[in-house]
Amino acid sequence: MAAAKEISINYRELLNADIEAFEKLGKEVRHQLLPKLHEDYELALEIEPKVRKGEREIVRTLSLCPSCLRLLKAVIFEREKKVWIRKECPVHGEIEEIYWGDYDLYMRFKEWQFDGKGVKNTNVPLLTLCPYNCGLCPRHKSHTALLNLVATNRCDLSCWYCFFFAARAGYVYEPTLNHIRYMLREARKLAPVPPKALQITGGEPLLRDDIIELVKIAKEEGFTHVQVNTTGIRLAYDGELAKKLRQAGTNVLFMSFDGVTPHTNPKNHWEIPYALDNLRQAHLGVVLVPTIIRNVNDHELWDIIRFGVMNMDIVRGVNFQPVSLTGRVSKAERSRLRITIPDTLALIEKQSNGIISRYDWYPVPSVAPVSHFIEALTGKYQLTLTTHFACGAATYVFKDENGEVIPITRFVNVEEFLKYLEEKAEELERGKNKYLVMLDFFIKLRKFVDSKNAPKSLKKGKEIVKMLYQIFVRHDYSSLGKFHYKTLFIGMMHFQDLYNHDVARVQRCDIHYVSPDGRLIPFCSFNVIPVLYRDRVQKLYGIPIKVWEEIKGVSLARQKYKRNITTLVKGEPYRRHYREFIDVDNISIEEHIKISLKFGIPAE
Amino acid sequence: MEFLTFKVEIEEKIPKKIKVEITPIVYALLKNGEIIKLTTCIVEDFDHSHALDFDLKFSDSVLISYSDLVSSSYSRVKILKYSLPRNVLKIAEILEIKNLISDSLYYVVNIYKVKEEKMFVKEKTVKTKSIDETINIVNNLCASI
Repeated sequence: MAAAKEISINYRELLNADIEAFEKLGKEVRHQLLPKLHEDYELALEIEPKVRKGEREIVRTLSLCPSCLRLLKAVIFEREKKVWIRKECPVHGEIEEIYWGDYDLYMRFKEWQFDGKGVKNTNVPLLTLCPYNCGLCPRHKSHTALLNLVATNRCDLSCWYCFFFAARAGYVYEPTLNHIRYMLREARKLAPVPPKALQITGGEPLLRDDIIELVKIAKEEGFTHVQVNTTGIRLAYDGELAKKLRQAGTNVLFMSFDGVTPHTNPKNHWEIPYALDNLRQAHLGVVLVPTIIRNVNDHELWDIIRFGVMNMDIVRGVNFQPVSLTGRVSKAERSRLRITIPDTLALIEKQSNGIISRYDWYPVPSVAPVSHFIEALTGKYQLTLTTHFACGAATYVFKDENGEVIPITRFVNVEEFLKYLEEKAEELERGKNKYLVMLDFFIKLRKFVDSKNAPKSLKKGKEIVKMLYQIFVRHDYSSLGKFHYKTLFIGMMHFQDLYNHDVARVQRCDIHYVSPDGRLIPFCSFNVIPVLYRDRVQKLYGIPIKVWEEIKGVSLARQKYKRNITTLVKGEPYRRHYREFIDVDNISIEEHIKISLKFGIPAE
Repeated sequence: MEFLTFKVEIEEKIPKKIKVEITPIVYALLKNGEIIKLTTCIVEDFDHSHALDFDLKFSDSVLISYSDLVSSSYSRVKILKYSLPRNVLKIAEILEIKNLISDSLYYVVNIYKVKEEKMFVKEKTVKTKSIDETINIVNNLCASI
């Protein structure tokens, strides 16, 4: 931590600074902020972790000690049909953790790994080993698919498990609009593929009075997709804000949604119905984001999907996030709470009675052939999702006219189609005539679609074949928008923690944070090693709470949200959204209040 | 003064299938304009103390790094240490890269300037697909002084 202590910034003096001032400052401090050997971390690469009787080695990798952040060698191995990671710190001993809950699925997913082309212009030189050199460094294999911008660390909630928000951090981190413009410009310099998708996150970004201006700046700086990550609480009360967000160019919201009952979703259960209605009025779509914790809300996975399907007029997707266990967590506690991607997929299969099976899912990089094909056809670099295969999974489901849910894999041979695209991309790269390739594509396209199993709405006029033709032959993506409105995207992203940390995953990460000094930092470095990245840089660019309150003339404590449960529960939107899932009249107001208070949100 | 490079054979199956052989060829451009191929070197086994040097050499040009070595199912890495003549001005390091999965061959040419304090500063990196093009780049070094 010594390196960070040597630098200090008086952010109060920068409140009216121009973009150039932030650029100059960023260049000055970013190298000094990089973690330093012997000051911030040590290496312990001599120890090769053992594989024991009854275990089968899969691959070796690098990882960190959860206690001292030493770089260690680790082994990923199979035992009892599950995948585990083991490492040994010379000081803190052996650490073993579940890595993936299903060996067979791991082996199936690994076949879909595609790596990126790397990044051509990095913000930091190579000075040390991965993951202490993030910025991005020349080792990084993926360009940015989604850029995260922390707009503020203020939050109107104080969830018991969160250590990030201002009141607990002891400072307010809230970059000015000029500062944000600098950060976005720095991020957009990335070559060969500048990021086009931005997530504005927090804290609670909607607490910023200038959030609309911020969205407009993002659009001006070239981000064609802007999403805002929110609890939705402000939107439950402020329909105008939803409209203004949409008008400013917000494409979609990422909204926390941990379950369909007050017990599983004490964060925003009561506000969600009102927020959804306001988003309907604003025509602003939303992706529901459930954090999944074993023994807490893992019994509601199918209900969460059903909730999404029932509100498909406004819900564009459900993006599950198996919990990342941050901070010190005992082995027993980890076993109780830990859930991995395959565990989640198996539970969805079980809870849906096989409507969505684990084989309907594909790893994130499986779609890389689509980008490769278009890139080979057009000669232009394309955004390509090349994360590690173990990081995420996705599928699409269609809602048929009779309400039946049908995964896309039941009527499109996704596997064969993607393999075919990769093959054609390779042919084009080898110089084959593109008109001959396209002719072959046009002839074979129908082969991948099984119309008799398709949802009725798509059977009409072979709509799905037409859509694929529009996208791949005519490069007309408007049909893709139509596709989205008939489908629900279901995704899954398991962010790492210090227990299951794998450097091979970090190097392939394509969700990056733009740091206030202009660096781009992979999600699982920014949040998994906050002491070296997130907290270090945000504290440096932060303002002490007292000073911030003096400048703004408001009290941070007074911004805390207090919910009026009685009014929320009695409203028609609450009943309409939840009647399929809970007996609304069977939970007393006192019980509702108790649940909210237990979570840390005052209620009456 | 010493110039360090690596001869590499690596096969990785997870997370990504990689099978690559990297063979370096090192030329020195002398102050009198002469270009000589360096043939004598000390060969040593690789260990993790050279991880950063390995990454500096290959991470951006070949897209492999030390973590790939750790994950490899097979790897053979040798450190090659070339003694440089006193009147050396620049170094041209040609990396011949065989991708045994795509059955393709390409070259990376790294040009280093030798600084007075016995440091090497990479001036440029060029990727080529043919040996002729690669030799041209090395020959053009003469014209650049």
